[in-house]
Amino acid sequence: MATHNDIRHPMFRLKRGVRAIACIAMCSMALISCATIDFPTPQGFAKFTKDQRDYRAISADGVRIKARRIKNEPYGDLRMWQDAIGHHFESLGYKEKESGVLAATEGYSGRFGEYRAVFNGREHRYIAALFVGKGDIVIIEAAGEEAVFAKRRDAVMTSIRSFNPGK
Amino acid sequence: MMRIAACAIAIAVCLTAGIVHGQKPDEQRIMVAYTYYVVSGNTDEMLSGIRAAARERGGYVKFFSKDRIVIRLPHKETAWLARYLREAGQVADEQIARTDLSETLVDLRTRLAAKKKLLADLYKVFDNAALPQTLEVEKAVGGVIVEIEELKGKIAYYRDRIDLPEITVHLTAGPRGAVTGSPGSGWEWIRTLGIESIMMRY
Repeated sequence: MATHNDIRHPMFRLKRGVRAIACIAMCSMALISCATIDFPTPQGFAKFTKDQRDYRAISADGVRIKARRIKNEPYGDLRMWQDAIGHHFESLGYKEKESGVLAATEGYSGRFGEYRAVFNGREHRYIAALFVGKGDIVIIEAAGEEAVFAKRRDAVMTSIRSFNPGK
Repeated sequence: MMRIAACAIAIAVCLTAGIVHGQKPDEQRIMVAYTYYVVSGNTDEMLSGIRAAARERGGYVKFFSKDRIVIRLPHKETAWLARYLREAGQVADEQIARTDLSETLVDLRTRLAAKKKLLADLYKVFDNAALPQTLEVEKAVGGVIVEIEELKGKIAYYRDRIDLPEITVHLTAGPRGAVTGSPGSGWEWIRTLGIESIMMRY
């Protein structure tokens, strides 16, 4: 008579199958959350290489870029997340200067917003670009003092536009 | 009689409008003092922000401590500061005190013009005076010059008080993230987005 712990018992096989599926799911989730970001470093920026999880780069005049990948959980589409971050920036007193659509690539759709706000007594510019996929979201932020950011803006936007979040 | 009355009314109107003694009709003659009570999640950062702004926007810091800063800013920059305080913290109370200095300035300028006229007359007397009178006239001229300089000093002081309003900001430390008075986004990762995060905790 085969028991539940017997390798030949159907319940044992079922349990093993469930465990394997759970293991695969957990591994893929971990991969998604830890996946590196292949963001093209804009001209004039130096990339930090120590941090493998998030992308970080800085220019000589202090403009900073940060990109990270997070789980799309609970699932929301681009519009939902764009509205959510829009409300957040509004509550911080940011003034939207420009916004636009970013080219959709490999199951991701993207948008960006450019904001103006006073930080530490000085006018600053801030760009937040959002790429939303089925399983994850890539968020790219860039900020700097108004005068210096204006000089770097085109290079930053070129990198954002050429970025493939699926890579 | 009617002519005298009309003349008197015209002089009074001129004085009220402030066009006597070179005062422009649209000249600002109100001294304004602003007081703000602000709750901020990071008072040190706010303090340094206000100090930097005072320097860069044509004003100066009169006094500052850990929880209070007194600055003087040009009129056109006061609206900017009010906006900055609202964006960087939560303004719990705001007081504005206005003092009309029109009468004081008109009075000082009238006295200055009269003293200048007296000085010119004294110089004329001085030119034609005989030697024994010269010393007396010189003494009188000296006294009038001192009075003129005092009046000029008072006018400059009031003009400075008018041109650079005094702004006092009382800072109270509040919990971080509660500075805008908004509950914030429901998602942790969204709450980490923003200029402060990328510039300070990079």
